[in-house]
Amino acid sequence: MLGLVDQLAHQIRALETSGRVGSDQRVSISSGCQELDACLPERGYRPGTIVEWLEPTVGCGGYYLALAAARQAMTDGKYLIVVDPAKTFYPPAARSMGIPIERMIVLHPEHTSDAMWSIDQALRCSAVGAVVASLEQISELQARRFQLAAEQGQALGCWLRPGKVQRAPSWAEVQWWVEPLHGELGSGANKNIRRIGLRSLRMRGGVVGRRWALAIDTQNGHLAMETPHAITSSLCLAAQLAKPKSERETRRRTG
Amino acid sequence: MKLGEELAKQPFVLQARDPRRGLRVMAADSLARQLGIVPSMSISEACALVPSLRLLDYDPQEDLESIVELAEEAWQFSPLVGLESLDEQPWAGRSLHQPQAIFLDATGLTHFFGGQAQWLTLVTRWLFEKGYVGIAAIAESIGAAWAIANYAYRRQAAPRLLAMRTSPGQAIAPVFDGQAIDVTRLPIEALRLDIKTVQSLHQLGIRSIEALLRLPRAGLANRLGERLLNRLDAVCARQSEPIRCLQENVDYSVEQALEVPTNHRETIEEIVRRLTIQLCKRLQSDGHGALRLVCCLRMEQAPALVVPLGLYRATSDHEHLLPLILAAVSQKTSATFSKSQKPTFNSSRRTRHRFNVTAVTLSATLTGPLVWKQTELFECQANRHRETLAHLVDSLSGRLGRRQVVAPQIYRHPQPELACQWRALTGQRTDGRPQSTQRKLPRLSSVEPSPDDPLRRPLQLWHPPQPLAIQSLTPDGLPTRFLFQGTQTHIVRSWGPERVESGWWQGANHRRDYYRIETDRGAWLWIYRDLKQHAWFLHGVF
Repeated sequence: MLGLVDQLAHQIRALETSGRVGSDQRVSISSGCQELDACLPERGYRPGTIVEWLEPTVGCGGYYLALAAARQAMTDGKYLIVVDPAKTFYPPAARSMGIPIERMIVLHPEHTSDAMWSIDQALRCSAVGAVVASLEQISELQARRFQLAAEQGQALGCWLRPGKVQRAPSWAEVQWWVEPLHGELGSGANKNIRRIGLRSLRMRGGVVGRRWALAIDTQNGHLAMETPHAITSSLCLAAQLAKPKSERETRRRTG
Repeated sequence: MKLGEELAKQPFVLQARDPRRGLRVMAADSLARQLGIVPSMSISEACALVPSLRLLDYDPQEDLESIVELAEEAWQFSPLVGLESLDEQPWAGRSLHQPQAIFLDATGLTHFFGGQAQWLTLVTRWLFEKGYVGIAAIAESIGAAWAIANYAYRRQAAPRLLAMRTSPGQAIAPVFDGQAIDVTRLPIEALRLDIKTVQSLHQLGIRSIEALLRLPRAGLANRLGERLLNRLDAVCARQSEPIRCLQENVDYSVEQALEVPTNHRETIEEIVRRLTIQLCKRLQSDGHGALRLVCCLRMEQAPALVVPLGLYRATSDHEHLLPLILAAVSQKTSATFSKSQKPTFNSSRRTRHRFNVTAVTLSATLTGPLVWKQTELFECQANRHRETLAHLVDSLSGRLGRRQVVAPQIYRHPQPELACQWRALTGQRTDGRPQSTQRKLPRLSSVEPSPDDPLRRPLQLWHPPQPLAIQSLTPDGLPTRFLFQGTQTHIVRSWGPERVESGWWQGANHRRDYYRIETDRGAWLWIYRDLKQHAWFLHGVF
């Protein structure tokens, strides 16, 4: 019976992911957190896909998570491209995360059209492991173009996006909503912990709407998952208010 | 010195560390000079004179690249262009041990431009249009031209140079009246001599070339060396001094003149294609690849269009180079023509003829060996990636611009904004990278907090820092509430302070107390209190 359930689950996943699950043996890219990888349908992010982190406000931790995943994609001497038109990216912080800066290239395009073209070119290059960019509004056509480019070059596209684009169409394989979680005040070891909540808005072959809480140890940069019960209790007010209305209504209806 | 809008606001200097004398002023803008700051002055002295002085680090590599780019464009005025050759010791009267002059061979070509005066005016006007203030001179020898430009015209133009900021006006052209300037009346510094020799001559009471010429030659050579006599002969045009041409090898330059000048796009592209193939064959035969290319389109009446192109790694693959060159030419053509009169089919016949191309030249100004040095026994994946990446970087640089495709260089500097600098990836020799300017500081002990710790520095740094509107403070003076992005924000947690202080010897010093804070909206920010201004600033986001 269990074997039949497993078989059916596998078939459903294969349908959801266009038959890619288990179709080849390529190693997936870790998200930077082993426990989170275990929750993802392919035990990580699939190379040649787009992952998006949506933040309700700047500085919620999305950039850290994007770079943590990008670092994992820099295997076999592959390069990281950071597209930074605002010229705010600060490489010393990236180096302290363990990213080899000798394999990091930063682009400062002056026009939006140049930025879009650069991202497309970088994704198509087989020497590029990951492309990190902050994207606000992109057309559906452009998003699809990025997805195809990533598939061609097998690079991981890591997009930082504002929360307001939540309802915009996306071609991302995985889309995260980054929820700020507060650490507990003055409680010993927790003092050096940065807590970040993640909610899956879109995940091909995975469960949508599920929550995880991640903790970054500011002493060593280690990214780990917290126990599930700690998540809901520590959601800050802003994060709760930022939930989409439809979900709140669903929860109210279900009791 | 290049003029720019942002530089006009505040007096600024470029500083560099002299191994013996500490931090020195390498160059000062006209506003700083008006306030009494001169090159070679110590930074502490300069800051005492002008407390609001802005200090920028002098980058010799960038300076060299800028003058090389300028020299490459100067080919429109002469086929032989070179930079001044430096001696081992810096010359007296110069604060920088860097090439600062471009030599052009004007033999037999000035009449094409309407005479020597017109040629000089064209050169200085071109420099001014590029954003530089240039002093030009023509003479019978390189030594004399250098001496006149630096010690005759430059001094005449000095008051006007200082007034440049308030009234830019026309290009500062030398006062050229057709009469030869008597170089013998110039000071001995005009001979490009080292400081020690000049000091010795000053001790002997010799201050001008004229006085030096009166002394017996044999005695001078014995006491002060052969170089003095060589320089003396060069100034007096008794000895020819060759221009050390910028181009490494004249074979790496191909040209095609057009019998009938044209502005037909496809024709010009075809010529560029043929020249690229021709140049690549020459490079391949020598086992070399191009690192910098310059494509020059000579126009019938308008100034020549010079298109430089930098490459990430040496290549002689014409299939790779051709699209890059064509894209760069197309980009430059549209940018240039949009500024002036764009040649269209509707434009007048005269306008169209003005932009007709008469000749196309393609030169490899910087080359390198084609083969990568093998460091491993077996070919690894990383080497293959490096080759693939070179194509990407070249095309990105071609479209975005050389300075928009960069790699970070991290320095150990207390000021966060100065701890990272950018290096352009293309157009540089792969084996000739400059030495790191990072100071060797004592290793920090593990107990002390290090900027290298994760989350110690923000992932995004805002430059300049944004002033914070603080609404309430704790008794300790820490903010509890402030305005961030137009909304009231409360601080939930904070870590700090981390005192960041620049040394007094580094100029206008900064004293800041940094805090990492967590807001009620879940954002992690990096704020600091400026202990000199007693104000709070937002500097970064984690």
